[in-house]
Amino acid sequence: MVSESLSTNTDKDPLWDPTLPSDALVQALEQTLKPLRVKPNLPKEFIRSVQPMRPRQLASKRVVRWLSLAAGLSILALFLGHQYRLSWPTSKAWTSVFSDASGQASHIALLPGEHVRTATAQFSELRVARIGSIKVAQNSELQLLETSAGQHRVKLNYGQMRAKIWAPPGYFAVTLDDVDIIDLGCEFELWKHPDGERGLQVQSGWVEARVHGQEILVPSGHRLSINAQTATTPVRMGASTKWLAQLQILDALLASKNIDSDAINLSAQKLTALSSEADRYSLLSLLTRFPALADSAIYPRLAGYLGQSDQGNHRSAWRAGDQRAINAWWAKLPNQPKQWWRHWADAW
Amino acid sequence: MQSPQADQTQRQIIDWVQSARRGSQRAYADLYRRFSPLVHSILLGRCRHAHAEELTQECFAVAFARLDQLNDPEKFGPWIATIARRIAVSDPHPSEGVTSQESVMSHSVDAVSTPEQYLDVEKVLQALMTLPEAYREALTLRLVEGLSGREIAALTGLTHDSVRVNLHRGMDKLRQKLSVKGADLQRNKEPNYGE
Repeated sequence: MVSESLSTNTDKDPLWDPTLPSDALVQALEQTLKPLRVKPNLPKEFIRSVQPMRPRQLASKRVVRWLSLAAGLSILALFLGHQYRLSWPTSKAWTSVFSDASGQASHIALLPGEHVRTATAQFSELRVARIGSIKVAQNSELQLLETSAGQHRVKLNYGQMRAKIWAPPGYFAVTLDDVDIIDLGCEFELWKHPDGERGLQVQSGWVEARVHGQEILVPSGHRLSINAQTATTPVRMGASTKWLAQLQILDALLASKNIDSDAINLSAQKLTALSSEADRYSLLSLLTRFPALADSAIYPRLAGYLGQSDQGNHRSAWRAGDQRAINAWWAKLPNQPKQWWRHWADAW
Repeated sequence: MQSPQADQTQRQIIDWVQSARRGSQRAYADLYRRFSPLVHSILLGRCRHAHAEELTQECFAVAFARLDQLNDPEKFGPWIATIARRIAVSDPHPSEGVTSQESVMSHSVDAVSTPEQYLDVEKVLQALMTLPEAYREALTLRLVEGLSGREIAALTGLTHDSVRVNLHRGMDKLRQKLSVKGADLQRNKEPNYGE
């Protein structure tokens, strides 16, 4: 047994104390292996070659450690701050500041179901939980429908408002009669004038308009008109009057119940002739809403603007409404709708 | 609780490490003298013995260059042992699978004097390498480096009881292996043993 060979008295144990006489095998092993023993002295040239850490190197390492720690704590603080920013107790009141032309201001709390109504020369600014703010123009009425973490809804009954929100898509939405305006992390204006004109204009980020079952994405620098039946195509601010007029004709033809393919193709051809690269988003939106337009002159022009070609029957796939074919061109846009965090300047 | 002698040894190691950090060549030499048997025995159990001494120096070069990463200077022993094990893993000439002939060809002849003696070294080392790590390291420190059990315990950080158990169990296993595999060793060396 192994345990039987263990010596409990280290004073008489030759394995424990090499100076004591040991058995033949241990002696033989010692004699055989002794030549392999490491030389106790380090070669002088080796010692000279060792480069000690210089104080500056040590200091810079300490600085790097502290900076790493500080960076880690900052990231944690930002994360916790962001979580706090997105949180909000259900149905907790928003704060609203009324001001008029004389400069007088008054604060009120706005609960779900309550209105903010402004008269001539009167304005209001609301804090949207902790994620942004709404400015209500004169002669407007805004109703708070509901508020809770990730779910803030208002209704613009009439007038004009400007929202500045920095939060993940869908956290904030505005109802405008039968239209839902979904914030995708942005700044935008929305109006409903007494003459019935309705529309929105996006200053930064993206907005999604849900109009009669259609989902229309509106990017920064574009506006969307909403008529009684449907939404139109988003157009860039600064588009020429001629181009806008031609787009209106095409939009009307596409909305018509009696589809006239020849007229649509001719109108699309005229619109394309007036288009520039700055109109690429409008053309992309048109093609997305009406995939059959892939047969028109719009497709090759847009392909050129996006640096694409009709590879692998992409055009026929688009015409058939293939979502992968459509997404492939959307992915070519430099500013993607889902990258809401890039508009961090809207947080303030 | 540690003995006064152990405390003194620990303080000495801390002093050496702190001096080495300031570039003291004397401290490098002291650390090498104290811990090279430990590093060498680890490498000897894992690499070709012809490379063990060279790798030992390489291990110290790595350790001295990274001394600022050692948070607790009194743990220099376990720390450099870890470095040695990593170096052994990355060694392109591991001991396993090496035939005796290959080793003979790659061996520098300063350490052993005759081919017969070399053959014995190979047999013993091969038998040692089959032992569990704890037994192998303790026995290598005892049989190759000639350290006492007390010195092995101080170097490895193990208790005296653990070292004694490792030495005896390792020796029992080595006896069994050598009696099966290396009868030649006994027979060839018998005239020189003379009890």
